[in-house]
Amino acid sequence: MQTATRVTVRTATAASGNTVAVLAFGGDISSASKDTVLGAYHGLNGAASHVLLDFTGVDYINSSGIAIVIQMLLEAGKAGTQTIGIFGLTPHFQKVFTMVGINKYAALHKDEAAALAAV
Amino acid sequence: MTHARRQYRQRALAVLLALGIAGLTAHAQHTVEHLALNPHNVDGMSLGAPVSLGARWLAHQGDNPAWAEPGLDDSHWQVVKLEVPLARQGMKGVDAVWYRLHVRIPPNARHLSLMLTRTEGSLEIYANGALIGGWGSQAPGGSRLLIISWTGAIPDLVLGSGDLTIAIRARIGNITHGGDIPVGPLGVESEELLGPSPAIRNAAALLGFRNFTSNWTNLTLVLIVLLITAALALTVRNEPEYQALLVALAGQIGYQALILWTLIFGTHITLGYGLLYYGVSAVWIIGLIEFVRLILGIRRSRAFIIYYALLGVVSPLVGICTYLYWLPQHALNGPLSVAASLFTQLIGVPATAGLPLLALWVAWRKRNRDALLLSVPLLINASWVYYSFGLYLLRLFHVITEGAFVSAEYTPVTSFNIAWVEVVSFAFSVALLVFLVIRTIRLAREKARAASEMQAVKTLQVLLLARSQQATPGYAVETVYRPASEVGGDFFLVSPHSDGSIVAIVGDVSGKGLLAAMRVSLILGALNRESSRIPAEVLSRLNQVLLGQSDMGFTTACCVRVEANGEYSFSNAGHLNPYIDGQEIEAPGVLPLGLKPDQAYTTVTGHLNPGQRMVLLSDGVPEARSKRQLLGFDKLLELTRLDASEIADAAQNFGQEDDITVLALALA
Repeated sequence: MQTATRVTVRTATAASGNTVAVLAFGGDISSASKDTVLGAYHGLNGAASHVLLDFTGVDYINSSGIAIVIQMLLEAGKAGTQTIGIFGLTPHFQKVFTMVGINKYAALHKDEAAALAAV
Repeated sequence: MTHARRQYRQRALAVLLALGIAGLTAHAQHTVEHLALNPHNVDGMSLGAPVSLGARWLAHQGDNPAWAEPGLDDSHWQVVKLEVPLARQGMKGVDAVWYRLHVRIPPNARHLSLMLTRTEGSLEIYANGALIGGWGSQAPGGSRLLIISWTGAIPDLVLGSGDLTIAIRARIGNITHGGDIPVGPLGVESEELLGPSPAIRNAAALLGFRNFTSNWTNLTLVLIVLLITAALALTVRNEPEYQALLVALAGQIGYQALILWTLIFGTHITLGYGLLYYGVSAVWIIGLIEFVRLILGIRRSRAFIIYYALLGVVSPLVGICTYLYWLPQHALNGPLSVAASLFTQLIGVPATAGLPLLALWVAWRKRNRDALLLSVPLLINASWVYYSFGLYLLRLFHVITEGAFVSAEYTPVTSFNIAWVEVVSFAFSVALLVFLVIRTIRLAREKARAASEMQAVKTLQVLLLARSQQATPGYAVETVYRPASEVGGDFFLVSPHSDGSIVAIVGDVSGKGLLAAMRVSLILGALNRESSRIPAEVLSRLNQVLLGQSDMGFTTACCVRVEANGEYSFSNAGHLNPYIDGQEIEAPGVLPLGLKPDQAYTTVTGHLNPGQRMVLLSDGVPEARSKRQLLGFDKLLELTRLDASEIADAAQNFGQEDDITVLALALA
C-alpha cells in the first residue's frame, strides 16, 4: 500500500550565504507522484539557482519514482543554471541513486547541514 | 406552497432567497386560487362542500384578546390582500396582527370545520369568539412555526345565528412582514377552507396523501440511486466519482427527508434548522459538482476550491443571516435584500445551470461520451433552474404578478397540481440512474476488452521470455520470473553462442501493465536482432533504440558475457550489479537506457571459477517490502548464495512489491 507523496517548499541559507530552495518530499514516490514532484520543481520557475531535494520524509521510491527524479535532474541540467543537491536518503536509496548515476547530476549528502555547507 | 418550491429552486440554484425557508411547504401542496371575496360578508350558504374563504381578510395591527369577539366593530379594519406582504399594505414593523372574516352560513348549519394550510408563526383561531385551535407562543416575537395543514372543528354551540366570525390572532415576529415575498400567518400559499367536518377531513387527508406520496416517491427514488451508487463506490474503489456522487446523494436524501418531515410534522424554524437545511443543500450541490468534475476529467483547480467555499460557507451564511433577519428591520424590502438575493443566486447559478453546458462543451471538445451522456440529467436539472430563474426575474421586475408566479410553478396537466420541481426532481433521478447503468455497462465492457488485451500481451510476453531461455550447453542457467501484476516490466535474455560463450541480460522497465509490457516486447525484439555480443555495445545500441521514449518510463539493464573458460565481462545501465557467491561485483553508476544519446558504458571484467555462481537480479528482490521495511541490499549478500528459485521465494515471502527476476549462471 503506497502512501501519497507530499511536498513542501521552503528556503534555507547556505554556509556561503546563498539562498537555497528546499523541496522536502514525504510519503512514497512512484509513478503517481509525477505531477506532485515535477509540479513543485516547476513551481520554482527556475528562480532558485541552488535547489536541495530533501528525502528525509520519504519511505519508499520505486523505479518509476526514480525516473521522475532523473527527469527533474535532466531538466535542470539542460537549463544549466541550477545546481541540485540531495540529502536525507536512506543508505538503501543512496546506493540506488548511485547505481542509476544520479550522483553524477546531483551531489548526495548525508543531511541538510552537509548539503548547505556544500552549496 | 410555492415557498417550498421556491426554496427548492433556490437549493437547485443555490439560491438562498431572503425568506427561503418558509418555502419548504410549497413542496407538495396545490395551487391556491384566492377569491377576492368581501371579508365583511363571505357567502357560506352552500356548505355542501368546502368553501374557500378567499384572499381578502380584515386585518388590524396589535393584540387584544377582545378582538376575537364576534360583535366587535371591525368596520374600520383594513382589508388586506393575502398575496401581498403586509409591509406593502401599510403595516410596518408588525409583530402582532389579527385577521377577521365574516361568513354567512345557514342558520341550521352543524358539524363544521375549518382548515388552514401553510401558515407561519404563532396562531390562535377563534370561531364566534370560541378558541378552536392554536399553536406557538403569543409572547412578543411569537414562535417560528411552519404548519402545513391544520383542521379544527367548530363547536355547534357557537353556530345557529347564521353568522360566523372567524378571528385569527397571530404573532409573526419580524420575519413575515418585511420580505419581498408575501409570507405571513396567512399568505399567498395559504388556503382557508370552511365546510362540513367530513369534507374538511377528506380535504386534509387528500392533501396529506398528496404531500406524502409525492415527496416520498422522490425520496425513494433518490434512495435507490444512492444504493446503486454505494454498490458502485464499493465495487470500483479506484473511481472516486462514485464516492462524490454518494456524498451528493446523501445530501439530497437529507434534503428530501427534511422536506418530508416538515410536510408531515411542521417545524420550528430555528438557527439549527437553518444550518441543517443549508448544510444538506451545500453537500448536495458540492458533491454533484465534484461528481461532474471527475466524470469530465477536469482538474480540481484552486477556482473549484474557492467556489466550494462560496457555496458551502459564504452563501449559506448570507442566506441564514438574511433569513434570521439580522439585517435591519425592513431592509429586506430595500436594495440590500435584492442584492443579497442576487448575490446568492449568482453564486449558485453556475453550480446547476452551468454544469450541463460544461458537460456539452467537454463532450464536443474531447469527444467524451460520458460527458454527453451526463449532460442529459444535468440538462433536466437545469431546465428547472432556467425556468424558475426566468420566473424569478420576471417577478422581481414586476412583469408577472405573485399569483402568476405561483401558478407557473405547477404543471397544468392534472387537478392534483403537480409542481414542476417535483417532475424535474423525478426525471433527474431517473436520468441519473440511466446514466449510471449505461456507464457501468460500458466500463464493464471496456474492462473486459482491456483484460482480454492484457491476457494477449501476457501470452506474448511469456512466449518472448520463453524464447529468451534457450538451451545453454556448458552452462547451468536458472531463471525465475515472477511478475507483480498480470504483465510485468522485467525482462531477461540468455543467448549462448557456438564459440562457447554465453550472453545474459536482465533488465527492468519502470512501471507495470500494458505500457511496460509493450516496452519489454520492444526491448526483447531489439535484443533478439542484436548481432553484437559485447555487453557495452549491446547496451549502447539498446540505448539508441530507446532514446526519445522516456515518456514511457526508463529501462535499466545489466548485460554479462561469460566465456567457456570462465572469463566474464559485464556492463551496467543503472541496474543492480551482478553477485558472485554472495559478493557484489561493483560497476560505476550509469544512467538508465534511453535518456542520454552519447552514454558510454564501462566494462568490468573478471573470472568465474567452476563451482562459482553469478546471480543477476531485478530490483524486485532488494525492494521487497514488509511493514514498510525493505529487504535491502545487505541481505543480498546471503540470499545470492541460494538457488534462483530460493532467492525469488525469499523475496516473495518477504513481501513482493515489484516484478522479481533472478538469473543464476554457472559453468557446468
